[in-house]
Amino acid sequence: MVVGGILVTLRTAIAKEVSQTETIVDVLPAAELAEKEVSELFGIEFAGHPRQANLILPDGWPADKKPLRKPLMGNVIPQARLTVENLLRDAASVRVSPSSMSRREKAGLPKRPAMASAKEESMKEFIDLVIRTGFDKRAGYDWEKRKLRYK
Amino acid sequence: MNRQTLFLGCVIPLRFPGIEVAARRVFRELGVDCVELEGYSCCPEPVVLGLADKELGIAVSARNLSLAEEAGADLVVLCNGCFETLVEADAVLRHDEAVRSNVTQVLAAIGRRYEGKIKIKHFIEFLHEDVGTDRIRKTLKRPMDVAVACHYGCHLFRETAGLGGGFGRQVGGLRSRAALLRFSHRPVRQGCGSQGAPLTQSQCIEQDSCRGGDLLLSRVSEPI
Repeated sequence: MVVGGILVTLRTAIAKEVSQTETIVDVLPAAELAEKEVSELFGIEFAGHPRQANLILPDGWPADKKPLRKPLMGNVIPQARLTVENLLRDAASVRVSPSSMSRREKAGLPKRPAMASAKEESMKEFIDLVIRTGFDKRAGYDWEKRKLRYK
Repeated sequence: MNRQTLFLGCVIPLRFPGIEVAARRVFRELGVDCVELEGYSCCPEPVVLGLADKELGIAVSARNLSLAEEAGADLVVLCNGCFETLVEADAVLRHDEAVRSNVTQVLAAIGRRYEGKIKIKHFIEFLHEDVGTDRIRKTLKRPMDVAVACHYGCHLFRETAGLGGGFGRQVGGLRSRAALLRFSHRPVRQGCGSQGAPLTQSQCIEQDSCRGGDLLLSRVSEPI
């Protein structure tokens, strides 16, 4: 948009997993079609957008199909992805692996420390906590495959 | 003092169980009843995870703290990173009403609560302040006249932004352990360059810690 002869470009950044931001149509009516296009093709919702009907896609197009949307990326930086996967799988930043258990046995300790992963009830509670914070959605974690949906 | 909950974290019990064994033996020799923190999770890791998602970080820390509170004994933390995370989370929960309200709701939903009734201490802080060098000296079975270079690790000294924190308050106390150890080299506060710091340089609080282990080793080699 142009304000007082100056070309202004507005940008915002949101996690793809969140996929929602606020409309600016109320302050910049010309944004209506651009927001609608982004919404239909990329699946970004603009809260408060006045137009409900499709602009580009045909009527009856499946709501969950976004033609130009790339695979979802969450808010986890590449360097943290392994740690996050470990956390959501074992409630630990490093894997509870056969080698770690063997190492503990050699040291005269129980195979597993008293962590949540050693007790089903505690692990369920931990996962429940994670889900209630909404982190799994922000991060794009697939609970079935037990890993992030991107590398 | 005789009953403490030991927070081991992830890396020590899974990668370096010898440290856990040593800590448990020290507790036993000092007559400290070690309460197991059943069902605890990653603290969570302060650099990578802590910066990736603050909301998750505080909630996970609060759950760990609620477990410790339920256990009914103060929390002694063995790992520097876990210490930083848990002390910071406790400080944020005490000072930030909005965060506390949000976390309290999440905890309540899983049947937990944290009221801030416990103290959180680092293992060496516990040894110095609660046990004391005199008692440690009496417990020694084989006094060792060894020269050591002391590396505290940077997480022990970080402060919670705007909340004081005061990890650095321990410097004097740590150095007073010279009564038990003969320091042959100048103590350094250089980061080891390990784990998350080099991975998140742009977000790293203590830029010095990003320079890697080489610089640390060069500093350690400076004799007093």
